[in-house]
Amino acid sequence: MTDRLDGRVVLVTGSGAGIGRALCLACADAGAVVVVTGPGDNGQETATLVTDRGGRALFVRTDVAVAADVDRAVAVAAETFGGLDAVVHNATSRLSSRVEPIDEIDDGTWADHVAVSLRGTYHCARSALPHLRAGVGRFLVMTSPAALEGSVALPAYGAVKGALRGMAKSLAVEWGPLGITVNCVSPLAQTPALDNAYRENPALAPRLRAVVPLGRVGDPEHDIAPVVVFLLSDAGRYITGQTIVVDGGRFTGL
Amino acid sequence: MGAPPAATVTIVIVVLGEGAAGDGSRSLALALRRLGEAVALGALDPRAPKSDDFVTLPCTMASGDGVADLLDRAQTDGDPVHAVVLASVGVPTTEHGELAALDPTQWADRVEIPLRRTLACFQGSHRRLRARGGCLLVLVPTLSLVGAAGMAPWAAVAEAQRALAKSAGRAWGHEGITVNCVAVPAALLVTALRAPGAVAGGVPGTAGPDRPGLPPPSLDRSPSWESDIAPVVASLAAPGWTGVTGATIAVDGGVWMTP
Repeated sequence: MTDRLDGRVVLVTGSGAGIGRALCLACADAGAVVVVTGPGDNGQETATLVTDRGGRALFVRTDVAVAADVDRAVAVAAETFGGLDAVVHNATSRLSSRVEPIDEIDDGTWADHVAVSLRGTYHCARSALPHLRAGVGRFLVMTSPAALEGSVALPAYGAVKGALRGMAKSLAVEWGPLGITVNCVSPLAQTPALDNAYRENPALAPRLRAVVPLGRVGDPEHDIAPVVVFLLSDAGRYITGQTIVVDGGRFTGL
Repeated sequence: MGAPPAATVTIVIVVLGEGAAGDGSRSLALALRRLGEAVALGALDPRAPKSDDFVTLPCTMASGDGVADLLDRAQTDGDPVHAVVLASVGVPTTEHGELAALDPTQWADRVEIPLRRTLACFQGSHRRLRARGGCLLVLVPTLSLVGAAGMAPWAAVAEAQRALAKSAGRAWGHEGITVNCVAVPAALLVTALRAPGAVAGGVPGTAGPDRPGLPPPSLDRSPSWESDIAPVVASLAAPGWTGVTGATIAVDGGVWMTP
């Protein structure tokens, strides 16, 4: 039993920066071939970082809210690398860190959150399922503390991230007989989005440090990504339907 | 800061949902009325039958303003609405179907439209409750807590509702508004479950779309609207529960014992 990913083909959405980029680097370091996807040019930067470290990666420009984009990314992965073993849906709306109380959420904001997080999951599930193999196939979705605890500042983000947990639990039951695991990871990580939040609310950083028993916000590559690699590996094959909270002990309510 | 209504003031509860015969919203409205509560039903289904027991009002849940207007119309004898219960958000959400087999229209009908309705209900309810305080409740199926094959859309909608309820509970607590969820067996919430083998051969109220092989309810019976669920809903709407918000209370007879 190993937590290596040698020869596995892993597609990561929203991997132009932040946690998505860290996941690509860690998966490649563990031996996976990585399909980097995202709507912007920074996806190519992630792919270049992977290859500079000796890994294999391919960038496919993808808007997960568009079914044809996801179909194409999956097809390119399968044609280029001979298959697809795992999908990590990490992409979130560009509005994710915009503070917007429930009363102020308008149709456009709500629709964008739903399109990227939720419809993106649906598109990934539809496209990837035919390729995911029994015993090897993994479908992993990044959720958020805002889903577990609610959020005054980011209720739309929390709602769609909560929806992902519901979807993952049911998909785990649905795809279990196919030998495919489905899980969520809820990270607390230092990301560009959190950097933005710090700028808007300078009191947030010391508050976070105080509320996290381990006393710091996680590093995407070294604290969060290893858990994802584990779940994608053979070592994680009996874990399904779970939300793995990787947050330094901030949330202990499960 | 809203204050709980005085004992002499009637607590008006508005139940929002599909409203059709056998739908959970209608069952709950009827059970609440039989407990003596003042109830109105906001029905998505324009064919929802009228009732001698409660007022039935058409409701599209298309916008927060629309829901707020509905709550104004639901006031009885000048008593303002104190509690809103979102009991269902459309039949398609409850239909059985493998996620990867859904076409884009089915996906939108089962997930995106119900979620938009949910947001409208939260926004509209807040507009009418914030002046005096009150209670917003969401009925969710227990399958959303634990997952069920063929039910990913419903589970997604329900878990979004639970997360939004926690956010609203945090945001509106200072206004005297509590926001909670009540989880009940899925089979109670809809009439015509499309799950293969729904209800047949199972314990009524716990079969249907739930996962196979569940233990029987620990209380040795499935919950009913009148004796179990409506009293919990009425109690949550009463002043005695103003210290509880953001919670999910499972009324399933002790099957899952979660979260």
